[in-house]
Amino acid sequence: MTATTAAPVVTARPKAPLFGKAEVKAIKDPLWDNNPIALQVLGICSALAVTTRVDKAIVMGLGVTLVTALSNVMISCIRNLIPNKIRIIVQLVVVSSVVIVFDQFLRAYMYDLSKQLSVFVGLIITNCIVMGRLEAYAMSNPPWRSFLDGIGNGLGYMWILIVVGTIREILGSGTLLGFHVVPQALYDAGYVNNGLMVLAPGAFLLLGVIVWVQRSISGYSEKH
Amino acid sequence: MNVNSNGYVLGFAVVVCVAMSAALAVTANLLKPAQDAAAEFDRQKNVMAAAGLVTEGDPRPRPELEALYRARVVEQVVDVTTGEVDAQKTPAEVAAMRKPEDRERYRVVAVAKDAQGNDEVFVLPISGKGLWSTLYGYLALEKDADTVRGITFFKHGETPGLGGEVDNPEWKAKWKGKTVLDGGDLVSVAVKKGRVDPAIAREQAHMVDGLSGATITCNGVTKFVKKDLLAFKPYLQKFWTK
Amino acid sequence: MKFLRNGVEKLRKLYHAPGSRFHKLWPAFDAFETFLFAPSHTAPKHGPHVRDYVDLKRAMNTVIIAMLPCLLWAIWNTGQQHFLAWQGLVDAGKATHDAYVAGWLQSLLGMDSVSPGAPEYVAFGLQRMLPLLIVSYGVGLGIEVVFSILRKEEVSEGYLVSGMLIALIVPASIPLWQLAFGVAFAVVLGKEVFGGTGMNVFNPAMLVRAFLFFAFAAQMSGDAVWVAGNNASHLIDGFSSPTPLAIVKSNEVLDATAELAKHHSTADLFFGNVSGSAGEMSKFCVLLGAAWLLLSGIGSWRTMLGGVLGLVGSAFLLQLFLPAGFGGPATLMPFEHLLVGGFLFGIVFMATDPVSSPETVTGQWIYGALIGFVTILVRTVNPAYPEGTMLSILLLNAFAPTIDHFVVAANIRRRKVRLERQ
Repeated sequence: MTATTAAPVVTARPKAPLFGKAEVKAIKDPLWDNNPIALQVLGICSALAVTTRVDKAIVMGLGVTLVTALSNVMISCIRNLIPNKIRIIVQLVVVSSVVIVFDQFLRAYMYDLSKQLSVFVGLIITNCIVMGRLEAYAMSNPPWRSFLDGIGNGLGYMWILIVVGTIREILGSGTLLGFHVVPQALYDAGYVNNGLMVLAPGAFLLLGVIVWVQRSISGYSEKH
Repeated sequence: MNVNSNGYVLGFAVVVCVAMSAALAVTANLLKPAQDAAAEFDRQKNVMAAAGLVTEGDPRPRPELEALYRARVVEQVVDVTTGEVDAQKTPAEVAAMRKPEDRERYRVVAVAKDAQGNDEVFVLPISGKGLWSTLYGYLALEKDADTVRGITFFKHGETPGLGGEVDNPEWKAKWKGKTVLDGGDLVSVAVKKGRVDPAIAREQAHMVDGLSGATITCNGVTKFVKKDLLAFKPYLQKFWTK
Repeated sequence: MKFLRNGVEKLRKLYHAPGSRFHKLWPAFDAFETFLFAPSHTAPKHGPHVRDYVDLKRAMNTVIIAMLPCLLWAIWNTGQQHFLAWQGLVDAGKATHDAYVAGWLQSLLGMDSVSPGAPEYVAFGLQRMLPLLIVSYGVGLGIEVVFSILRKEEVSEGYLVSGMLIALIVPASIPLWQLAFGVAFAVVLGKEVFGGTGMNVFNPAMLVRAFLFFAFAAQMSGDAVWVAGNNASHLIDGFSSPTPLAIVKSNEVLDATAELAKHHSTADLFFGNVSGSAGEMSKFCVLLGAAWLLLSGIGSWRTMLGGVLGLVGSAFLLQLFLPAGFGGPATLMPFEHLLVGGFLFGIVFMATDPVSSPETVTGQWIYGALIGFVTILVRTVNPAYPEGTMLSILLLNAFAPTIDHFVVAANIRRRKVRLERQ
């Protein structure tokens, strides 16, 4: 070792672009190619429970998006400080805190919806999507990218909920966002709402159909 | 620094927990007044809907509805054993009661006043078992404490399309105008299995059409409407003589 | 016949060879051809080499013959119940013969409601049952043909039986659009997504009923829907008649046998002079069908006998342990459970469906017995549903492969032990 080679070569680290390849992938992938519901089949329980009406589906989708994004950021920021032994507990503490805050806001400002979503807001804590993203992404990626990943996964979850919710609300209650969309003339002609769509099995069937359609378009097939 | 040493793990856990609980405590406290107000407003809306002051999903803004409630509705705690209004207790206290016998005894009646401040509608809370769930709602009586003004259910888990039709506005409208008194006896209003026969005056007065395919829900409604009306009898009695 | 054969041969050219004009529609052509003529298949290079004229199509036709008594009774009794109900209303002064509105076939034949007889019964029955059959077959076969063409497979015959079953297990008053919706649902999601005929997990006809039952509960349950009429919803205004099971459903009925006897005689229950779903009322017709299925060897007698024993046995055992004050259908005499509701129809025509029931001999016994058991459970313990046949058959459909698995595993274990002893 000689002193001459020790001279530090200072080069400015290239500034990472705000929306580089990795960032775009983080937000785009979960929307279609790696959708949490259609591909990974996560978060099914709440998808069945809150999709009888579109407004419930939207609020639930927003909740999951916010929770995933915020806890992703928080965990990503402290990812190098978290001791490996208690990382799951730490993730849970962060997720549940964010969920509780969201729940408190709903209760204060959207009481009707909060009443209807009831326990399912609290159950976001157990939504596999949230924990899954923390473990799979936020623990090994910087905050900004983790944030985008959380937003992407939340939106991927949300659009499926909205599709299911739209079909269920129109067929099951004849309304959309609370407005009557099935004309009275149709009811007078003998049309009745489809009770199966209001029940959870109806959502299960619809989810199955959506997974079928999504996979036959995206060409994904399970390895046997 | 060794992030896996026991001391660090312990310290880290403590810091995370304290930080998170502090954050939660602050939000919960800040939001508490808004939450209580929202819950109260929700109840007020249900009461006013039962009394026919507003329609469900009334598009008017919240302050206007709250003002309407303040102007027109008075809530009283009734001790149903005596039928007297207990002015010492507030509806909020009743809601917080935990003992079943207290909850049986003290019930909140909402009285809607007309523009002159006279009693116009009595809104009685009703609840009881249907087929799968407990139904919660209000029965509204006119100022004679005899004629039904309306009925609403704000919480239930009955089968959509069958028992769930208790929410059907057309069915609820059938309750309007029925009477609970028959020659001085409190007979309540019953849900008939099948259609009410227009030829029979007593059926016309005290029965509503059944919901097809929902016998058990209908029987449940009949039963608990009668039970709650009987419970309120000492209170309602005072208005019958007038 | 010869000229028909020649005509078909000529047409065949247009469809068969790849590249011919209508080759895309070959599956549809093939379906019609094999419907008219027994296929003259010869053994192919690769298996299966054993062939029989009793192919899928013949087997299906045999089942359809078995259902004919039920269909004929459905036509007759739909009319009979309709006019009995109308006469009852007239006698009670709630309706007049002048106010009677005739349906399309009745108007065509110039029939009214005064002193109806056999022709009127049949005309009214056909007026309701024909549209049901047409919708059921039209929608179901239409979807099957479309899927076959997309998959480039032959149209299979599986739907021939389902189509008729569907018309027999729904109330005759069912709105046609609902029936079409239900059929489309069951054929696409119950059958085609699994791979078509022979691949379905659940009996498709029962799926149609289950779908309709949960989706359009008001048209599938209650007391009003079982007698068809001519008003806008195919009902008689102001008339309702509970089915025998609904009569005894209330927990306050402490002696169901006596309560039932007040309404229907045993002979009426057996021969089917009662209201209910279109085809399941007459136990006599079901037994005729069962005899034909057993004689022709198409239906599994083990499933049927297992089911009957399971039903009567569970009802009997339940009575032994009945808590005091427990009323409702649990107090029926055990064999009476066969006379009420659709159990007999279900176990004869639907539980024996070879696709959705177990393959093993022991498995069929277990499967049948469990269907009987679950039916009794739903009938007696569930507070809301008077009948449990539909739910129990669907549930056991789901368990059929599991039953087979354990029967086969037990067999292997037994033979292994025997081998080790030697």
